[in-house]
Amino acid sequence: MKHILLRRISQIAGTLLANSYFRAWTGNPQIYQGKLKGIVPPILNCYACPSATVACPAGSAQHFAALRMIPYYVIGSIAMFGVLIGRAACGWVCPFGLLQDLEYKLGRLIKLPKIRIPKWTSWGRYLFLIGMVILAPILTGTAEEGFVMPGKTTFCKFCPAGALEGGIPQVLLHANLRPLLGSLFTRKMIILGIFLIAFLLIKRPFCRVVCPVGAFLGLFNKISLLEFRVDCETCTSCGYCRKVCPVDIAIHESPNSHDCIRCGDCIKACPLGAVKVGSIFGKGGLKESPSSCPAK
Amino acid sequence: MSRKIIFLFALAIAILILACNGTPTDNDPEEGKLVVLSEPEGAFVFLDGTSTSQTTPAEFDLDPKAYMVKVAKIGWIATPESIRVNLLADETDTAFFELTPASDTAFIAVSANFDFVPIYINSVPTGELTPAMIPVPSGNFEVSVAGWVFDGNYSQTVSLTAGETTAVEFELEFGNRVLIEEFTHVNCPNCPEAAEAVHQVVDNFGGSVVAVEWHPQQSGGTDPFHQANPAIHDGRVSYYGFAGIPRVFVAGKQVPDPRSVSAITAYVNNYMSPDNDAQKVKIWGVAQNGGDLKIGIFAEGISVEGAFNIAVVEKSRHYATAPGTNGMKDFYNVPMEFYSYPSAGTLALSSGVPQYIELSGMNIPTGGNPSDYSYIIWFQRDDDDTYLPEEEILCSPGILEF
Repeated sequence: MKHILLRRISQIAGTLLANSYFRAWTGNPQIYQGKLKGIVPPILNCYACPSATVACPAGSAQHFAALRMIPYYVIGSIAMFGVLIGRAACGWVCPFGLLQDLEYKLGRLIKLPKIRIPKWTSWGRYLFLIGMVILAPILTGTAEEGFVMPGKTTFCKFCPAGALEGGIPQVLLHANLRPLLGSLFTRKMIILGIFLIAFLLIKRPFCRVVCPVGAFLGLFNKISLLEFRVDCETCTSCGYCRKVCPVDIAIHESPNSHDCIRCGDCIKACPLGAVKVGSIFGKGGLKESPSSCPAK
Repeated sequence: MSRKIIFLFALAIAILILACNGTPTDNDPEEGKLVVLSEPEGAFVFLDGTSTSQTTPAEFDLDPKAYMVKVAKIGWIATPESIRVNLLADETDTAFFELTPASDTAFIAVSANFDFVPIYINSVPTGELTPAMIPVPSGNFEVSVAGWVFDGNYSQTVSLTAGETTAVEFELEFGNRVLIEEFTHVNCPNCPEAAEAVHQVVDNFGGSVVAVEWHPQQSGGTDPFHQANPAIHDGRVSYYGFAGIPRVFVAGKQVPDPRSVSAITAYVNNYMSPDNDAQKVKIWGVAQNGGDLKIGIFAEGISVEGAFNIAVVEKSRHYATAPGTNGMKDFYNVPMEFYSYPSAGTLALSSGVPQYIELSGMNIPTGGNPSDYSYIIWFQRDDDDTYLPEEEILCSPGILEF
């Protein structure tokens, strides 16, 4: 099976599994509140989506931060995935990643211009993680004499995934919500619109610049059990890997970059077979390096 | 090699963080937590139309089911009027109400020569303490303040016009109050006589005396009051250092004949004198939200160091004791929890300088209804955990109600 087809099937399966409470769309449209909602997978999937079956890590972390509690379970769950597979879930499972991949393909089909964003913008993810997911929910609340007035889930008020997966379906399903729509909904629709346009022109801009889940997972890429290696003697730095990369990185420059979503497209695309995947405990051989290859 | 070590270290940390999530909480896993908030705070909370005797912000551990939550604060209108909460086990739900002053609002500025005194309007507790600005609809109202330690009736009728503020001031005077500690047991054959004597004395003094009923461990059967919290009952016996019951202590001094009304009365009269040091420290205040205390304390003509003893007492219980012993009997003011403040060291009181202390976590028993409990507080001078019969002075007690 072609690698890209396998990845698409995995992404679609991930999207369906994370949003498989179809009863929400028929009969009594209640959000799913079962035990699966206690699972925090390493993907960005709004848990306000009527059919969402699992929790959103960013939303859950904000919830606890707003209550001034340490989200041990959320951090531990995501860290566990990160330690084992790094950002692989971003490339293989995340529904919002799938949307960006498909939109970018569409942009190429209809021959829209491509826009490249500078590499430093990827540090923006950490600003969103620290600023909007951790600090803002804490600082917008109050705590007096041990009693906490919860803060605001600030990132959720910005998140385009939430607007697309949670906001729009909820408004479609519940007519009584429509008169309540105000500036927050308008603002979120504008943000979503901007991102939907950006997805056509830029490779995965949300994953690279905004996603706090990807930011946290990316911290583990360099030390995760799953690692990429490049045979520096074979690699000619032709740049073909960057051309196919959904997040626009040249794998030979940093095989375990915090930006890499472990999709493996570069492995299949490299005409010389210089990119390899393996375990941190595996024998890579003298030629294969988990760090950058010298410039040629 | 170093990356492999970092990987293993990170894996261990991730497992450790996950394991931290297993920290036990105070929640009963079969219950859900309901948090009721309002802005401003201080509104009385009603669940399914029944008063909880608690004011916002308030927390409840409740059985998982649907509840209709309402709040009420005199002179304010709550929005929304009510909130239906479908409480799930092991989850927390929050009901938030925004309070706005009623349209024809007038204000009463209530003050007194002491702070932290509960304010009532038309004999209904407002949840406010002196000094306070209370919004009410225009009209005639009876404003009063009350505290067990204050003698007299403090009440004024005011006529209020919308948009205006009317000041109401009270000059409060302390009364003399005495604490009796009775040591008993549900199956103790000689204890009922002592209990009757103590209750007789309490009645004779017309509410100026309060009795606390300790239930230490004794042979001859179990005592449910003791079993509810054995350490506090046995701890009090250890403090006084005696064996055998019944025993009666008045302001910390043992009465030789605990079954004699006249003997107990003589001791109470001795401590009831305004010249006695026991009357020179006064305590008042209010209990809120299942365990938050606002305590006022004032020493007059004496500067002392010591600590608060805070007994959370069950006001009364009708209990069938063992056949052939005491039969059915009413028990009053049995401590269910017992706290000290400060937990270490002492609190210094200067003559003529009131202190206002806010404490939290002085909780009633888990799942208890606040209206069944009150706080009996006394200041134990020179609290060094050593009982010296000739020196012991337990200062004038205070009773805090929800």
